[in-house]
Amino acid sequence: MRIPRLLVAVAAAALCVGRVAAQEQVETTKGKASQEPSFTSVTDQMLLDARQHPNSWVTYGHDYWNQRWSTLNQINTSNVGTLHVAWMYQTGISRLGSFETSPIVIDGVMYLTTPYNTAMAVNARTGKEIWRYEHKQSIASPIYCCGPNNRGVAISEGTVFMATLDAHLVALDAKTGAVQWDVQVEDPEAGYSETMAPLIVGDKVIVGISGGEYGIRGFVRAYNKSNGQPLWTAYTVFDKGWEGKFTPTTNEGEPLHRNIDAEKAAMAQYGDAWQRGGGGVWMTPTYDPASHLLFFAVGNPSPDLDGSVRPGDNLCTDCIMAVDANDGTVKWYYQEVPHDVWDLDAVSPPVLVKLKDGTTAVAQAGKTAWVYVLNAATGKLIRKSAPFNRLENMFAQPTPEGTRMLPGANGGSEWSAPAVDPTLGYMYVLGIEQPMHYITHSAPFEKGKLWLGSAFKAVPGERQYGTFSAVNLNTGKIAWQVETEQPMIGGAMATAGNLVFVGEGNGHFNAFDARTGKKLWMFQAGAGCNAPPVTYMQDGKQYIAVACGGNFQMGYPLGDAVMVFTLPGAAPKSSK
Amino acid sequence: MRRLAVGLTGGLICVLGAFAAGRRSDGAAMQPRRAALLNGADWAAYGPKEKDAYLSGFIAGAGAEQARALAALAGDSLDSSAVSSSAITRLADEKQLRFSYAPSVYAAQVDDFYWWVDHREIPIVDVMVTINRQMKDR
Repeated sequence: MRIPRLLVAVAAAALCVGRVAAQEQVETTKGKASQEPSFTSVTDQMLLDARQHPNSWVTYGHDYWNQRWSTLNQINTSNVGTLHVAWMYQTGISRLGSFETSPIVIDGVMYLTTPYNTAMAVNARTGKEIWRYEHKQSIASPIYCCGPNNRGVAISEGTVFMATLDAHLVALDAKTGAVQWDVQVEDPEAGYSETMAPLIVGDKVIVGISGGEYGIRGFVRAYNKSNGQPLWTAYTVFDKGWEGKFTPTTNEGEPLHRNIDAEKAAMAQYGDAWQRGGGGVWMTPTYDPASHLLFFAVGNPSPDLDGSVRPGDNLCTDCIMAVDANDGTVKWYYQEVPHDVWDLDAVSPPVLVKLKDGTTAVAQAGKTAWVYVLNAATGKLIRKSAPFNRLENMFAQPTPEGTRMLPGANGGSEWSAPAVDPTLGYMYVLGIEQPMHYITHSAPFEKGKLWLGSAFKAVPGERQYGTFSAVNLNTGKIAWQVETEQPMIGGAMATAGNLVFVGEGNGHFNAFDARTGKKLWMFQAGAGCNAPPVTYMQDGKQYIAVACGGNFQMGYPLGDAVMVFTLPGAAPKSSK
Repeated sequence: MRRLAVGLTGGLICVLGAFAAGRRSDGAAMQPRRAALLNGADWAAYGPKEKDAYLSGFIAGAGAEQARALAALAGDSLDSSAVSSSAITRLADEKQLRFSYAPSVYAAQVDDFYWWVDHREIPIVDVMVTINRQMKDR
């Protein structure tokens, strides 16, 4: 079913691209000398000043605050309706997965990654490939959850960094793709894997580890970006105090319905559960240069749903953590769900924002369907937003008959990267409406469903859909919300053109008015646009880029294309 | 397939050793059982450490038998040095072990498998073979 649909869509898109590319060629060949990529060396200062230099997209979240907000406004609410394909790049790799890469673009060069860790550089003007590096996995079958994916590269000076499914961190020459160094972060055969885009902070390259579904002990680690030597490790699962205070409620007071006595009794047998306690870090941290703090979201405890063998609060799974970027010392943490047995962990990358009262805050969209707004200096909760998805039977314990609950195990907000419009104070959040039954045991056998052996199942017959919400971080209220045909997963990007872009699993790539949520433009990409978009300026023209290659986990149509859009005609003189 | 069967035989030897002929985690006395027939009910009674012990024994045993089979193929002596820990370690270093993942990885997969009540009569040995093949085929 999917392949013919995909082929038709790609063919249609290719016809469109053919016409448009010809047009673009005429326009861009006027300045042929400028067509050669310059391979600008990315300095620490460029990373620090990313907000002030919107022509490039130099790090995963656009800038250290992870806001995915650009001051570019050539494409705006008045002209976005004329946006068309400038070029399309297809990786040509037949082994597809979740295409979640967030491109990095610097002075005419775009860096991409594929689900199975091929990195490539392409000409950001034309889409012509410059080089590709295919990572040879160190084991035949790396173990990872939830479907093969990679979320992009980091770049510093002349080096591109990619973390891989087999838990390696690879440094590549930005001009050629040649390997400069390659280190194993952890043992892939023990369930460790890497999916995040690394982060550069000074002389360090920062990565978190995934594998919370396989009894790992999670961490974030800093490496010397010059030679790959490890510098510090911040474990996300504490060896001391992992049991916490056996809190009966969340930090905000919602009852967790825990059997605290049973948990305490189990401590003698399972007191060492922290050694296999999970706590993966899926997404790129945010960084505050002023305080030198890194902020990241910590994933689920292991095993995901069986809390009986990991008594206590399981600190610091399901947490937002702040650590000193210099040495990895933990400064504070905020646990969203103590002793999680619903997989409602913290996954979506946190963002830093300046609130109206001048407070610097960390905001994170939880799988719990709340946005947590925390004081960045102390970790204290400033406010929790109104829920951006329905909440039903929240934190009810699983039963043999199945407990219906919303959000389901995918959220709320999954790993999707939000965007922020700092002028409005809005955070744009992708949400999932997927009612689930949480079941302690017993279920009908489903032939061929060997890998779904987890105690949560989407409720048969119930409608599943998505939401895209603007959350006012200064009030916690939902400023606007649109419903989408399918649960949302991927990412958003906002611009000073009063626009916010986001894709859907059905292939739609949309532009909304950032102030009102009115849909202003849409393109059908033929495969799920389930990756965060980016924007950049080249030769006086603004471009919007997004990977449209679907999502394995949600079953959205797969593909291998990066779509790049721009306005018709030559660059306006005022932009040059 | 034949090599796999040989490997499993070796694995079971170690499993037997690790489990002292089927003692349950609660310490309750039970009839001695063939290790090959331990199934989902037994698995459900194991705690994390027992699962780890079972799987460590299984993996080591499978590795030992794999080393022994390779020695036989090469016409080497089948004495104890052919199946020593160093031989298994060498296979691991060369990424040649058929059961190559850590016990924690297999434990998560076996847990998943036995969540389906219909699966509980299936011996753990067969589950290990199945999930290992599926992981390798990914």
